[in-house]
Amino acid sequence: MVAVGAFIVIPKLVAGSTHPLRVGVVGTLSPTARTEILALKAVIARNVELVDVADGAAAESELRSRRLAVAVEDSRQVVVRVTPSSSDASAGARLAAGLAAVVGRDNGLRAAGLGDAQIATVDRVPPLAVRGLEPNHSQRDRQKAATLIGVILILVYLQAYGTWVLNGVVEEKSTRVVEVLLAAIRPTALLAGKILGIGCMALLQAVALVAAAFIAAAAVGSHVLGGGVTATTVELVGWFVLGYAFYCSVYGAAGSLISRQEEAQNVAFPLQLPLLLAYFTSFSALTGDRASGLVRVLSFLPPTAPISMPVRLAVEAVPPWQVALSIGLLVAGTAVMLRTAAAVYVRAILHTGQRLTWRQALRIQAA
Amino acid sequence: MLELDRVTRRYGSVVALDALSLTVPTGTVVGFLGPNGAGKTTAMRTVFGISKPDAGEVRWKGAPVTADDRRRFGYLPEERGLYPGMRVVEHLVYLGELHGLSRGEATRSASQWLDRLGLSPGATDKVEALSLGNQQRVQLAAALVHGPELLVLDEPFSGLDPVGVESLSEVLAEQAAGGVTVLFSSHQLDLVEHCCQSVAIVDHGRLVASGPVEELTLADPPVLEIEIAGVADAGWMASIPDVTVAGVTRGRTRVLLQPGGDAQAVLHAAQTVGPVLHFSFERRRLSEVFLAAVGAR
Repeated sequence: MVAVGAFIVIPKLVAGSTHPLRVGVVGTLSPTARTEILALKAVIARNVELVDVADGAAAESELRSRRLAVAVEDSRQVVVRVTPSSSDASAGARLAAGLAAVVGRDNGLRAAGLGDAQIATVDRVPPLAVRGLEPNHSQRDRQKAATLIGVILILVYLQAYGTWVLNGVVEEKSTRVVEVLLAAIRPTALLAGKILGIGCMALLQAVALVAAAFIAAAAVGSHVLGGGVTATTVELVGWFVLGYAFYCSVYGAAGSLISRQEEAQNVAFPLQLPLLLAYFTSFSALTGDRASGLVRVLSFLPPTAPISMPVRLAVEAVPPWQVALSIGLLVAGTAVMLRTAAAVYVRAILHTGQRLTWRQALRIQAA
Repeated sequence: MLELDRVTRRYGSVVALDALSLTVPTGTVVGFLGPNGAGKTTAMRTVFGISKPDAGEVRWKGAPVTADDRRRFGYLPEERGLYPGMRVVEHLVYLGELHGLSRGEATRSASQWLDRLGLSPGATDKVEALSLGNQQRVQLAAALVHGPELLVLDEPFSGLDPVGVESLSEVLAEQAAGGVTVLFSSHQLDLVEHCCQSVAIVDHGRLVASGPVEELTLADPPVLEIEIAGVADAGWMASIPDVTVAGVTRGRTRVLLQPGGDAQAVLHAAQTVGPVLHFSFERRRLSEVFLAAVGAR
């Protein structure tokens, strides 16, 4: 969570100085012009401060000593230290240009006979909304970056929580408390309870992580999470939840095959392979900006879909029916896995000696 | 009333239960006896659905056992198991809730049982910090905490010291008096004789003898106990027909009188050997009943 916060806050911190640009005001300046000058902050990305100055001479000396960035005299003239060139894109130059335009416009509106209230109304007219047909490059890049981070977190968390479920099952088997529990409740309830309990923790952690990212972004005014990234994040959390349900059932079944903690790593390793495959293929898809045929296939298979489908969504337009199919297969796969896990669980639990193989366990289930 | 009706369970080619039928009447303590591997543990597991019978059924109050019934059963499995890292009282409360008690009820009941079993001082210790004997007591409390209607205890006395044995016997008697049906297995036959109204003896997955302890121990063949001054062995009996020497302890010889055997003839023979200090008809010990029942092995 700290890492996510830092990821958002640090770029903002190194983005340069933030002290305000000072505008010297000599003589009169209408309140509407003052409001509009302060609003230039949004254009130049720096705070603007208005300072009243006694006369033109004082303004000039303040400009030369750089205590003022720009001055406006009697709403008639804008003064800067160095004559602006057309290529100057500094905040100071943009402020001077903006100031000249704002005050000139204000004078014009007054000459046309408008009063303060009418000018304020005109000034408050918002610009029209602009609708883009395709996301621009920086949005796409941010979505891809969010997807990459999301995919890494999905990989790490699915393994972490899966292992947690696995260890819980193995602990109950190795300490034999399972027989006491199963005398009172059904094995499906025991397994589902474990998955749900740890799942709530996992979801809470995922939501906390995402919330921390958004809060940090809002606090420092970062736009890293703006635009399509919010939607991408919600989507990733959704895939995480689906993947979690699937993998925890698998890990639960794996746990019931063994009776000692030392064997946990051996039985868990093969379960990590599909995730790793999905991860490595997604990495090249995200950097190369196109989904290979392999990624497309993986995006439909329940063990890899939680990673491969969001990756496809980030790099290409996926038809909605394909997303629906992938989710459907994942949900169905989870249901099958949960039932298998429960069956393997109850049968394997009474085998305390040697480790059962998957094949034996499934044969037991079929019998 | 708990009934096992022709329950059969096979593991591969091994027949663990062979059409085993068994009845435990409500409010009685029934001892479940049998040599190792006779099927006692499997039979107990079938009551809880942990082992599914291939044939036959387990009934409670006349109807097949349901998941709801099982929540009102208490089970002490042969292989003890608790979460080692959990605190004793929390563990009991958790199991109580799992069996349908509210948190408040479970807490009250847990502390009562901890008190009763002398575990109160360690109530907030982790299970793994307790001695094995005390862990065994906690396990017992775990079977009792929800006030079950049926108690199934697999070897409840193993690992207990004499004080623990005595208090468990009392608990079982109390529970039965309160209407709880109790089935427990044990190899300590003198204990079983002391605690149970009736016993069921199984061998090779089949019921080989059952009934009230009184009836089984009074049943044929009659037993004679004889003590003769100055005679420490039973060699003098070799010539008497239709008697079997069951053993000699502290100078007293126990004799099984087979059909056709004559107690008076034995007494006469004894008097010719020396002054008879003791001559009585005794009931059979449960161990003798047991060995006779599984003796064909």
